[in-house]
Amino acid sequence: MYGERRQRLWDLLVIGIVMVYILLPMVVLVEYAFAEKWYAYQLYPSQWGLKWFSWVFKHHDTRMAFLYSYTLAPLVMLTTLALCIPAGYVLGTKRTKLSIFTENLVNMNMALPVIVIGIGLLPLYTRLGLLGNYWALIPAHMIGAIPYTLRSVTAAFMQVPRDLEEAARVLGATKLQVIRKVYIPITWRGILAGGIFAFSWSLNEFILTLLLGAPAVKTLPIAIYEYVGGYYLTPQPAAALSIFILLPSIAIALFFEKYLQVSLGLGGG
Amino acid sequence: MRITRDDLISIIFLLPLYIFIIVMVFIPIVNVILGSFGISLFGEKSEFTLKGYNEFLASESPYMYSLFFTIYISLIATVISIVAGYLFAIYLTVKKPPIWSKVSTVMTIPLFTPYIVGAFMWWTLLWPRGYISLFVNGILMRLGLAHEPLPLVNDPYGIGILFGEVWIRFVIAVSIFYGPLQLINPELIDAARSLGAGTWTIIRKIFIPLTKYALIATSAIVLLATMAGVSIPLVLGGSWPQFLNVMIYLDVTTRFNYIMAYTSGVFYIIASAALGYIFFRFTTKKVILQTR
Repeated sequence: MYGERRQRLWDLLVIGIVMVYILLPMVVLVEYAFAEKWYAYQLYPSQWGLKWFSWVFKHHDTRMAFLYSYTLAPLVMLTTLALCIPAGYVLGTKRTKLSIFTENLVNMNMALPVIVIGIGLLPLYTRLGLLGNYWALIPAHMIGAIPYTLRSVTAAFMQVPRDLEEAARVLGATKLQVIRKVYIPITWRGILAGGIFAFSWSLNEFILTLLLGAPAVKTLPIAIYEYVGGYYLTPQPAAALSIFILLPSIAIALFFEKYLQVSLGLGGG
Repeated sequence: MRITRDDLISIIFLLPLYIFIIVMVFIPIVNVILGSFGISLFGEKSEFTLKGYNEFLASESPYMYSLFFTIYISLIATVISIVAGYLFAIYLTVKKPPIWSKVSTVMTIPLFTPYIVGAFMWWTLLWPRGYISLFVNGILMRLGLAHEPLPLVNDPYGIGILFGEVWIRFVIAVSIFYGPLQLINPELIDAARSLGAGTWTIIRKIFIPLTKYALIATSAIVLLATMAGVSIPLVLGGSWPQFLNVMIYLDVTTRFNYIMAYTSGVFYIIASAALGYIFFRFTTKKVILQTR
């Protein structure tokens, strides 16, 4: 009985320390975002409010950052899926040498530092006049998203039993019916997960946007960086902006954990 | 060799992916490698030169200093994250705390937090008015170990970078280690305990040998991710010394010294290839097989 109680206290202590370590930065971020008055000699704000959130929406640059981030992300999601669904179908249903080679090739991309790809793309984009072009950021964001999305989509297609497709065909189902009645019911979760990975990656992508898009196209991560990485430091608007990008990220994490039972790192460079 | 209809379908379905990889990954990487020798792929004036490598490898070269600083800080961050993550994953495996199931989702938050936001969050804790800075400096000055506040962010020692990196990498390490540790037969641990083995002996003689490939693979991927990530050293690093990837960024955006950016890029490609090979070599089969 005593041993059990001692063990429970140990559990609370160890897990409590880890939880504080994980959550403390977020608590402070929220504190900054809602702090209307916070003097240098005070440990916490003396006045709370939504001033910095309205400040964020009053500025043209930050409004545009919202627009760019939240329109780029769905576009990246759709284009990544358009590329990964046919490829994932081949990799998931036909385990040939070509499939294994393709998988290794895509995995290799994951190991390459994004900044190196970015500086290699810079002269190409300059030559083609694509620097600062909103549409040209879509393929740039897809570079990091594809390995994750393809893995998820491939895994989904691997779950489709070969005999099921053959049985449907023998029973006279058309190609469209096979897709509708066999493939979609089994693979939609994996495809959805892959799409959300791509969405999340694009929302968080930083260095390629900084190199190839800014200053003409500034997404939310670039706007945050400008408030903290430049010569002037203004943590409050940066904190308010961070909330808008952190909340969807946390919602996505919870969604994955609860409904899709997967978790993966998506920091975005 | 006859191409079947199935092969043709595979090729057609994979073709867009291959075109994408060639244009968006392969050509840029070739451009970086050739660019480090002064050769341009895109029709600019080019001439073969070893100037970039000579400057990079010269004694007292800022690039070599940056490379060592990058490796040194990344190694420290990797060791802290791996050791802490491994021990925490063992604690969860052995003790199975009931409270864990209620709070485990919190652990996934750093995995989905954008690195730039993660870096900024740590900045708010570590800058001179940040809670950790006030706490640490308060103790150091009270004990007489420091006469003025020690900079914990944008500092020359890489302390800020370490805080930011470990926060994310620790969680990655726990997530990766937790799976292989669950596959270890608990009877082995019970047998060792009944034979009088202590916790450290069990970790040394059972856990580490049975998960050594997971340890190697995770260390490689954590080291690679720490070395390659730009956001954290850009926000939390000091003006000097800088991570090599920050040098690359500054070379192409403010100094316009492309040849040095490409040369530094080649060193990154070599490091990535080596660490990536270790990761994929040990994650494809052995992580699962060794624990069964």
